[in-house]
Amino acid sequence: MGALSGLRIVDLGWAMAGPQATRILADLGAEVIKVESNARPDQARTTFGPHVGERGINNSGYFNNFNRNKLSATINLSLPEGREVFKKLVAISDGVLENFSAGVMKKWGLHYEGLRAVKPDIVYVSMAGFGHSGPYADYQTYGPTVQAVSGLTFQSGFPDMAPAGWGFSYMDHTGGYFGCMAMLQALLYRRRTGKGQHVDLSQVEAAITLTGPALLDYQVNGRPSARIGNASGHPTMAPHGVYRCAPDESDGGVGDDEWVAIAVATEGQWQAFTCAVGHPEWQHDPRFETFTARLAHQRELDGLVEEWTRPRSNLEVQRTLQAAGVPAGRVQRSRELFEDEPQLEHRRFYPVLDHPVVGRHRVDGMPAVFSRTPAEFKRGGPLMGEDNDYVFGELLGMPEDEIRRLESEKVLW
Amino acid sequence: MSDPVDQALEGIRVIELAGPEGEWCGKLFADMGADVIKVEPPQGAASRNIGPFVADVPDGERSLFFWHYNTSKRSVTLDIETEEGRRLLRRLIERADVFLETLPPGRAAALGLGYESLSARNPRLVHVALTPFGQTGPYVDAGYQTTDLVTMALGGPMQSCGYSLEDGDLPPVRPGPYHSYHTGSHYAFIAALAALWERENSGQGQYIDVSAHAALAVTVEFASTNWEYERATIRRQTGRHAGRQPTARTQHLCADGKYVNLSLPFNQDAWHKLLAVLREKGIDLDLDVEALADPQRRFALGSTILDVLEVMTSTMTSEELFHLGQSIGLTWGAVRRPEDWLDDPHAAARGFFVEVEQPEIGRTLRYPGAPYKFLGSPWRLRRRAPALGQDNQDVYGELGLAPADLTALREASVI
Repeated sequence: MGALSGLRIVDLGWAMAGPQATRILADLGAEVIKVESNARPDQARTTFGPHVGERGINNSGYFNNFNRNKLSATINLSLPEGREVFKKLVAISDGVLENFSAGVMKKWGLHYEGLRAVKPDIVYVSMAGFGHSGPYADYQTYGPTVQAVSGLTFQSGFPDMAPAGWGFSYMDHTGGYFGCMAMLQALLYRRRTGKGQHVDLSQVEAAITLTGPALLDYQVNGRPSARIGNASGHPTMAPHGVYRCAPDESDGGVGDDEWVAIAVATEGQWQAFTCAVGHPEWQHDPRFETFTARLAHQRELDGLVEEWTRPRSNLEVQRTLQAAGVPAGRVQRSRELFEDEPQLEHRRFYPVLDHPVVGRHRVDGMPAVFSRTPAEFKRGGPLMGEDNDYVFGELLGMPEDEIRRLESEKVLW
Repeated sequence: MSDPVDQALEGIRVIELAGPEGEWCGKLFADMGADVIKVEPPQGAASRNIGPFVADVPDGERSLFFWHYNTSKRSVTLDIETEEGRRLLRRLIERADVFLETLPPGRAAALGLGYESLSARNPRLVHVALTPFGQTGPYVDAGYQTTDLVTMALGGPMQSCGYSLEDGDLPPVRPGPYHSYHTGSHYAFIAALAALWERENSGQGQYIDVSAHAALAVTVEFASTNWEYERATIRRQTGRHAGRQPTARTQHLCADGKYVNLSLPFNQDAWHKLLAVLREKGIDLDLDVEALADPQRRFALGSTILDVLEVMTSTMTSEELFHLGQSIGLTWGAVRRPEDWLDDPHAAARGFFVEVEQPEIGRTLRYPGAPYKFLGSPWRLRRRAPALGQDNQDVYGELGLAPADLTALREASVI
């Protein structure tokens, strides 16, 4: 049994940040009921692929990955009758999580104040981009907006170039992590005090908390934020970078895009490094013989390092340097992570799940291994409304003919 | 329901024996009210040596990295290389709810701090071990060494971060510092909270093995499903999502030399409002507006539309574009520096930044505040990061040690 078994969470999360938060809760055993509607399907079902076969509502691999272990019940919240059913569900649940733009839930009367009336100790986590108060409360975001505005995008890239930013929605993941933490902490508080509450999570604020040292450096030393490419920053190291390796001919179309990260942190590692790359004489080269000298001649040093890595495969470089005790790792794509990663394989990291439409597929695993209450992977992402009978019939005690009637009237739809 | 509780994690005691990769987890506990006791070696935690420093003078009490990642914690010193130090630590852990450590695999057991022996004395203990690769496995056997950069590379996020080929044939980029620490710590914290919840049912703690490498491997968004379903790899692109095919450029240089992140107007209402704005500004629309009434066509012609928008971005500031876009329902965002938030009215209205007294520099500093606004049991930066061993007397006093005992321990270099 998962650590969170017995908890019931009503999940209005859609797209990614919300589903990321509840994916962890579900993996750890909570009963997560995804409330969605054909009137407004989760865009992860329809827009985010890859779809297996022609684009549909039940065949997105992405949706499957982010919604495994959850149940799906369809309620059309734009209809008053739908909202009444929703409130009944909240009344028998522990938490509600939503990542709509601020104002959406209020319009429906399903904001914290509205739901507290039917469940006084409900824990309600909202995850709007800028939060539910302040002048930007109505602003809309997706991952790239949150990253840009918070300062995370600015910090990524080479100093003399435009920001490289993040090549994916890091803050949808990380906003989700904060949402998950918020839910669990508020539930722990409720357990001790009997009190529910509203957590107003702003994904932008959550992102800003990850830039602390830069914020303090600016205030204390007057130093503006900067991009430093793959240089070390703090703590200071040299060599420290990402170096090109030999192309991988077997790679389907990616071509000359193989890289290794190397970071030489200590004097001992430097000596080991020079020997491992066959240039012990670098230790006595005035450009490199002290740490300060290496820092001052980073570019020349990087050039020499890449001369050594370029004809070698990134895996060979990783193994050679690690064998010498030097931190090095290839830049891995999902191909390597899924197919050629002994450490993840050892952790049996990618569980396989069956799904009636997309078939048998691996999903992202759980990075935390619990000794007594392991994460459980029971089923793939739910079909739209797959669990209506369980949720409306078994949990809410609605007669079957009423469920069918409300389905045909597009209330439970 | 009896004791008055103010913060969500009040009453939870955490013993933190963590390097820089785990301090964020400890801070998440501490700012929510947990009593986090940071155990440092007598010479200070390694993170005290991480810059930047006040006035760039390296010193264990002047590290801004340490200041940020250790707020609301207490600091005690003890030397785990001594038997007496380990005995003290075991006594601290006996009275704790959570033991958070980042020791290399096997080291805790070698020091007599393995879960088996700790849980024998304290069955309710939640022992969280956060390491780069986990406790066992081939990388552990081979003694793999790593840093933030190397863990980010092995974990997968870096492959998607960097520049489009047309901007130069460049390496993947580490997208800002410490995100392997953050992501590992996020899973460590979530797992600890889940175990604390479960403990309320079973009365028992447990051991949790968290791998930062694995945490990053599930923090790659589309990359994993593109591989799993279509055996496809996505390629880095400047300032936007990596893609299988090149997509329209969304990051544009503005008149003030800063950048803005634009998105295409899929929503009909926003599209019409955008057209009105463009007309009002007298920007020549070299576009087939009728054909573009169809959102799918707009998607297909994304680059063309964004090129037209570039005429506008080159005459407006990044902030103007951010607020203009948002005013018509578009998810546009200025590419801000973190410090741009210090004077921002939204941050001020929400009371985001926290003023912290820093007597040693004779002023207050503004620290980033709550990552989540708890309206019933507030997040609170209760005090600045501790000086080394600042709380020895209080914490060891709570164990029943007298001042004379402390003096003896200090003389024996145990604390």
